[in-house]
Amino acid sequence: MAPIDSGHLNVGSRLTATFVLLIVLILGGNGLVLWEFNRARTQTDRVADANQQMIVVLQLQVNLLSFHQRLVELTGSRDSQRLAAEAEPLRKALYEQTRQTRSALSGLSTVTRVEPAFWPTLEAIEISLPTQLNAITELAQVGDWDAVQLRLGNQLKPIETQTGILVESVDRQTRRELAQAVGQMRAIQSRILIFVPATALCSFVVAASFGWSTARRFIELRLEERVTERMRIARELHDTLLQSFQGLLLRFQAVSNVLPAGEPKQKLDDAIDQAAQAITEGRDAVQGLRSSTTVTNDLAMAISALSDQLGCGETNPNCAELSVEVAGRTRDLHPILRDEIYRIAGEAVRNAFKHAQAQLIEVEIHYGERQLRLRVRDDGKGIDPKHLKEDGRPGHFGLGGMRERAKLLGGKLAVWSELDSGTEIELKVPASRAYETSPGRRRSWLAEKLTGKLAEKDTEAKS
Amino acid sequence: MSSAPSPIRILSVDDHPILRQGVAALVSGQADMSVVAEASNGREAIRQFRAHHPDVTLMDLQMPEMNGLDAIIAIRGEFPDARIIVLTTYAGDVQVLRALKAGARGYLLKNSLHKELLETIRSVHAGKRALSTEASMQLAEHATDDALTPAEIRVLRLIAEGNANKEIAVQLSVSEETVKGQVRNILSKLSANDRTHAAMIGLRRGIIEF
Repeated sequence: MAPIDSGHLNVGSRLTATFVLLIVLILGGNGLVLWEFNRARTQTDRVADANQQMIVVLQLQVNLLSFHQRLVELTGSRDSQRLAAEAEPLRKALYEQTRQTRSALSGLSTVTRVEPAFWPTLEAIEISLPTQLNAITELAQVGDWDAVQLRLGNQLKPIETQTGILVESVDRQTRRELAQAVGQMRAIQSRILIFVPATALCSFVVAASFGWSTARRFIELRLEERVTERMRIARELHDTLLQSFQGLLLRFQAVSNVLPAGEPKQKLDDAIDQAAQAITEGRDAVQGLRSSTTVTNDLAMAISALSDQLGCGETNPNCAELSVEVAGRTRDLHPILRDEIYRIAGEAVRNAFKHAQAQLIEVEIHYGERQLRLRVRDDGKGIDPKHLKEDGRPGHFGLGGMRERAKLLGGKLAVWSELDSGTEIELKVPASRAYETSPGRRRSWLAEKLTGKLAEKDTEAKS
Repeated sequence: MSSAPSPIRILSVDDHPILRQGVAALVSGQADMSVVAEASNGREAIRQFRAHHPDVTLMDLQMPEMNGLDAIIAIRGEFPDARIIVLTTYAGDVQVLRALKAGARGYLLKNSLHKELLETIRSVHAGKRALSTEASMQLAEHATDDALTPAEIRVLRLIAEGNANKEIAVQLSVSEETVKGQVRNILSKLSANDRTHAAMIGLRRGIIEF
């Protein structure tokens, strides 16, 4: 089994969690609706069964009545020959009817309770009616029509009454089932009416958040890539360019050493000194590139420290005064973004120090609820407006780079400046982008647990 | 002009050929010294030292396979009177101190080689010690500071990697209270405002590496 390369699959815990939630919602919502439909079908089955039972019992009653009616007619005609002749077809019809009733009852689905009074009634019809029929035929043959009349009244009537009671009881049961079914169906209907829009709404919300997370993750990946790239460039610069320049400088010095004293040697030595200084600046810039990823999370402190880094200790009177002010509740910045924000601030402060010849630089950091705002103001010589419109003078001010950074982290950068009246830059980053949010942290904790479990399983499977 | 009968024999160790060429070019103009061997990493340096017994060794610190500090320790273990000058790009007081403790006699920054290299070779060969101005300034600034203990350095390294106290405690198999105490000591020894500031100072002074 090939080990899973988590680097390639790592789209971020937040995104994975949202995606899983979306799938669960869609499947779960549809599952619930299907389940409700299934319950509705059970209800209609029960109602159908109750109706079927009703039809069966009514048929039985009708047949019984017509059986009785026929016997009464035959008795009324006092024709024992016809009674004897019709007795057999009547018995058969009766037998056929009870058989049909039994088969209809056993055909009902198991969820339906067959009215318990059904079975004794059927048995009574099956056993006692043929016996009575025989007795009546025999009595008719001996011409005792009064006895026949009596039997019709005394023996057949109770069975009809019993059937009548059964009909009433089945009717009650059917009504009950129907009432229950109507209630249940209404409940199911209202549940479906809630489920469907709720599922749709939730799915929409989750899908939207999925889209949002995707976009967010995309930006994060781009930033991560940028940080990695910067580290790579720093390493590359350190390992190649810097070392080569330092080596080449020694060779120029070797040449200078063999030159006789004079103007050419002096000029070469000056050039070497300037080159050495340029290399030192380059070296410090490379160090800045490398250390930036571990810069402090405290923006105010990091920016205050810039003045030391720029060679302006407290003792240096030529340096501008740097003041940093913080407003709002200090929040932890998103780890990837803090570096970019710090670099924008750093660039602005560095510009003020180096190019604008400012006396006073004011930095204001406002940790707002809706956005993080950073302002850097100086009283320096300002930037020519025509350079503001272009993306900064080439090799100066780095405005283009600052704008690019701001755009990359989803923020806005504004610059105001006029010649001889200072410069102010303002960076605004939405809170959702800038701050490390606790729900995100919690979710990633969950994701870590999950992926940890998965990794454990993976190693278990391998061993 | 030099009264020395034989030139100073030099071993030049650096993984960048152009820098070695630069050193060779600078030295070749001098009558009283010559490069007798070169090496591009620590292991090779030890081998070349054994083969040539140079008077002075110029040693880069960051090299592949075996770094300069380990090579200095190995060479000094075998040849206690070896005279070694460290050539490096960055000066952090702790990195300088480590090199000196390992037995280096000189510490030069590569951006000032053209001015200081030849004189430093001569004075180290003569038995003196030599530091570049930037390095000695770094040392002087923190000379009276309490040094971090090895355990505190381990904690600082983990802080710089972005770990919280709890995570550090787990990784070092100690209690969180112990870590808290160590962090307090680190902050006070480095005069840092907070943990991240401490990490920055640690990186700048070479207490921990990038």
